[in-house]
Amino acid sequence: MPLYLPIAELSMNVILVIGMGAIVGFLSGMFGVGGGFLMTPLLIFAGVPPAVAVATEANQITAASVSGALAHMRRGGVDFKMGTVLVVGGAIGAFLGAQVFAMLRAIGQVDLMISIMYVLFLGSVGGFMFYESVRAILRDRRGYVAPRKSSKERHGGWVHALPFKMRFRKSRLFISPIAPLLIGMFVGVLAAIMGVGGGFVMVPAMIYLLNMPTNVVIGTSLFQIIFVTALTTVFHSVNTQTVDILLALLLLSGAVIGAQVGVRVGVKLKGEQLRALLALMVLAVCVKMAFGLILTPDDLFSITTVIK
Amino acid sequence: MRRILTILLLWLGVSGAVLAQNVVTDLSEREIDIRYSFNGANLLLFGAVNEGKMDPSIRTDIIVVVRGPNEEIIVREKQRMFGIWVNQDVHRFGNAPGFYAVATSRPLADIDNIDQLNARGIGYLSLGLDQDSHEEHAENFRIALVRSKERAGLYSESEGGVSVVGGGLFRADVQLPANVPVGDFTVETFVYQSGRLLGHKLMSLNVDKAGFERAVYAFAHNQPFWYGIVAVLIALAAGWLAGLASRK
Repeated sequence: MPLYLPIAELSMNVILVIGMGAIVGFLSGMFGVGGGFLMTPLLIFAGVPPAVAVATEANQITAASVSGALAHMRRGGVDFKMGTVLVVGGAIGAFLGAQVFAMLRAIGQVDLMISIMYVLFLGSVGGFMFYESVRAILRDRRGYVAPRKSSKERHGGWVHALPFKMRFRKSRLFISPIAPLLIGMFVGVLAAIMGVGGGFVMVPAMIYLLNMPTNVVIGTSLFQIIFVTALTTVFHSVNTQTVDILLALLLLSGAVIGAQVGVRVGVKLKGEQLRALLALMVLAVCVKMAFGLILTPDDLFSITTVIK
Repeated sequence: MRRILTILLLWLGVSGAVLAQNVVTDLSEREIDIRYSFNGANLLLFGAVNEGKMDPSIRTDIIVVVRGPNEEIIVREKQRMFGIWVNQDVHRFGNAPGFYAVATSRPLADIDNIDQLNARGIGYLSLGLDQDSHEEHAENFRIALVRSKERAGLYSESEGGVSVVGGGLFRADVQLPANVPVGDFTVETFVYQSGRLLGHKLMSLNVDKAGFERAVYAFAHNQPFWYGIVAVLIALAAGWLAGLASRK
């Protein structure tokens, strides 16, 4: 059943689109990740223009994060003060990212940038995750227990040397807002130019750099993701008109169903095995993207119609 | 001087009218709307040649040219840089038809000489495209443009696209793909006999995005800020509803 997507300006099979949403939803439910970094490449592989894929995916992530954020909010898992700092940073980052995106689009280099960013990010994140999870699996077999961090380690490092310290009651932290601001900003740039929520960067940064307690990390990062992807959607709509509401809704409906199944499968697997699996998938997408950059294209020429 | 001009104009007008009398055509559709399930459309043109004006001993050739609204098209060429393929050279074509299909009853070269055909806007070679550069290798970009458009189903030259049924009747089938540009199209029919143009007919066709899709597209381009706000609100509502649904 073909459906004409008004912004992507192409006809796609509805079942295929919902199916893609369901597969990524399944994976994100199983692994507990946002899925933007799998969905955007999948859309590109399916023929959606990369710029439309990125902007539309930002829109879809807003939708996909709502129910999770509400659930964490209800059980008090959101540090609103920290979240606000992260959102402010994210807003600045998303604005800058969207400007760069629009500029590169005008000179015909945005697709290249998206691909390069994906190869770099998926390569490093996937590589690290794979290394870390394999090490954990091996240690688990030998019965190794990781040592707890000392209090000095918890309150040391460059993050705690920054000025203008303020109190984040919920996170039980007394730190400068500069570090979370920078983290938020970096994630905002990623949201705008890659169409990802950025949880896979933000969550480790909150745990290892800011030393936030794990019970508020997911909720606070979802809180930030909703606002930053919403802003990204508006920025891209204004700058490049690349947000396809119809495509976003179709992907979401598939993702909701997929996530339900994914969560149920996920609880049956062990954490390290899940992470190793996810890492392999991330690396596979990375390799496919990299091939797209290196292999000689079928046609060296490409055309773009200027919309007046 | 003025008299000569007047006579010339009169003659041109009359000959145009005569050419138009020699062929009648009609289209299966005058309005094509791209709807949510738009999968492309098949445009059928049928017509009849006034056989009384033709030489019955010579075969009649028909050419149908369907042309979409002009667009500005940027063509980029990739080159290898540090091992990866990067867009480098750029050419801008100010006036390329967004859609261009030529259907003929015989190979173009057999119908008339190429220069004559070009002058009448028939065939890829007639697409001057108003390029901004006249460098020699601009030709590569012109060919690349035609090739890309052909691949997208937006340009075509189809020998045998016109079938002459007999008794002066003919039909042409032209496929409009899902990504066809919107706007005013022209459909021109040319009737030839042994290299002489004996009939010419011009018709118009309108392609538009209909209903919901047009509304979405127009909204996104006319009020981009509010489109973004609405996209966010829809996402929030859909996400919330999905959360409710999945909790049950």
